[in-house]
Amino acid sequence: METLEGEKPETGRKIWRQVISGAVLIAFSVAILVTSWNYSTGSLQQMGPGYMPHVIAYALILMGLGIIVADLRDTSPHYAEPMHWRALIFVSAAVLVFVALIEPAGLVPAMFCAVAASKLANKRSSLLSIVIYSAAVTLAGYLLFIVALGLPLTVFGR
Amino acid sequence: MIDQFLLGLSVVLQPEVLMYAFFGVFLGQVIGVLPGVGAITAISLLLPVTFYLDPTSSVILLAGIYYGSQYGGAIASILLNLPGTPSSVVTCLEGYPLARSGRAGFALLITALSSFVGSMIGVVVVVLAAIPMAAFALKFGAPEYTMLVALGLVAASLISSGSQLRAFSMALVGIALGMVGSDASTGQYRFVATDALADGISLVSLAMGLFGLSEIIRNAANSEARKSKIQLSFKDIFPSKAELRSLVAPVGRGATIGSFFGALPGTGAAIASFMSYAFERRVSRTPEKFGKGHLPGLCAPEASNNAAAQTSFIPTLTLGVPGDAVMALIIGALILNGIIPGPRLIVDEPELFWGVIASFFVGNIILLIINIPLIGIWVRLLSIPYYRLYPAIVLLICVGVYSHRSSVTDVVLTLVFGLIGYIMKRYRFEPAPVLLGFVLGPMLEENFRRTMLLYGGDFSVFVTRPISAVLVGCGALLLGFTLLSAFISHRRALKAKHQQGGSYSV
Repeated sequence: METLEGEKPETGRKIWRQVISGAVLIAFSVAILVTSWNYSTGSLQQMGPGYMPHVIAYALILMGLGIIVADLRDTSPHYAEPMHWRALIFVSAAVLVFVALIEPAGLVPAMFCAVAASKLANKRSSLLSIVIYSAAVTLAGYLLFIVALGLPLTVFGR
Repeated sequence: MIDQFLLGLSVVLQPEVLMYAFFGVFLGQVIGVLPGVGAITAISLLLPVTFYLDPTSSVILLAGIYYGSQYGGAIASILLNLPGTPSSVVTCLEGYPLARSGRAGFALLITALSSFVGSMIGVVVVVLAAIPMAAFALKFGAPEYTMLVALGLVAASLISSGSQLRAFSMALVGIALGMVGSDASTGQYRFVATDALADGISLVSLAMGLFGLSEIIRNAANSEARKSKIQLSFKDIFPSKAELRSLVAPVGRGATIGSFFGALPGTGAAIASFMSYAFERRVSRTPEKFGKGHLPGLCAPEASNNAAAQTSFIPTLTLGVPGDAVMALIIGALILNGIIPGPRLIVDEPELFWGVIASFFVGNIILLIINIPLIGIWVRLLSIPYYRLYPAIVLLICVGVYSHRSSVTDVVLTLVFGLIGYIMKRYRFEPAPVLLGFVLGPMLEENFRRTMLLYGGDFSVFVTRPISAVLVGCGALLLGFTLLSAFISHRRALKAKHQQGGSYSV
């Protein structure tokens, strides 16, 4: 599902926007190379654990260069949606809240807080609706995970 | 063949297995209808659950979601002009005009029927092809597997909708991510930054992050409710005999095209439906009718994508090599359950193998039965706004990933992959090849290493062994064809620019 609303053409051909895709790929491959530098490569007949990582990293560097060249030559306008900062922040927060609460506090508090946090990602959420909705989803989650599936999780923390 | 199929039926008709088959196709139908939730997200959500089921029920459940979503996807296309799944994009072209002209019920019925017939043809193809393919696959050695996996990755990249360079680099990234953990041959740890990664990156985290969380971030702010402007009436929804007769040929052509493209690695239901729409238009004596609710243009792609959804299981089940991201998840589910997919599957686990195939047969009958009578429910599901839905999905993702290995690191990794997936999409990188590379990478490395060990580092083995040579040939043909068509379209674009006389820089 994609919204056409709010899309705007990238104005101004910013050079960093054109090279960043390839540059990030190259940085990623360099990171692979650095990490796997000490893994023994062996020979073609007796490949060590480092052989394939090196091959993949070199191939990715080539791909990255290719993408930089292709992006610099590409003149067609690309439409990018604006960043969804609000959703990005609150969905991340929801996951992190879950991570922080699941072991010390147990499943039910973690579920409630995670749902409440993720609900904030949308503007359309009043305090009351958040509480009601989160409680309902938490109850449904409890019934699904603990009662129906019997997952071995702590319901309430110690 | 009939005996084995009956064996499979006896497996599926056990009440518990039948329940999972029903649950799978029902969920698939729901997923296909719901906005913003795709088959990949749903299957990755249920991956941790399958850990508690026996392998046969797991695959039956996950497979049901996949082909069930093909039915559901058409409903959103017809009533809202919004494709519910990528393979129902072309369904909009004919289905929506037909619905606007007051024949929505008719369009839905015809689509369900075509989907059913297409699926059944697909199932027959799977049954016919399974034994010969598995027998053939037993001839595959390490070089053949290396080439097959490589061909699958290259084909998936070349046939992708966006930039091929980008798709292929994403497949490579997937292979790199698949290397985390202990090396299969020597046992040495690679890229293990924390102890939690010693077993490798979890497929569940990767899939839920790249497909689940990133989609949620993209859509969560959307607070519009989707309302269908179509009045659904059930007056004259039944097609006349003449109409039915005129649809036999398009459905047959669609199913044939779909069966073919489904079984190929790298192509899937979406490409099959586009191909069959284009083909129908080419062979039609009245091409001007297309786009205005022309029935053959509606039925053929629907038959095609459903047939493809079935035949895509042929390479997955007989070779153990997935053709697309969904199949990669199914293979992942098998591996999670301790079953090694491959040509031995049909011999070692006949009940699983034939049970899954028979479940397609049963599942499609269930789908046809639940599709039309419950249309009221599907229409109501269609109008659920996304903002009511996504917090529950966030929760399912968190609990699902956590319960899989009781690992907090896995949940954090899911978030990281979610953010990466969101950014990737902005820079026109598709996440599907990452998943495919992740599952195929270890197979590629293992078989390549074994080949080089067995044949003394001699690359000529890939072209001197006949099956491997054919695979290399296919890859070369595909590459040549892609380069040629890219060249032609480039020339055409240049010519068009010249004629417009506009300034451009290349």
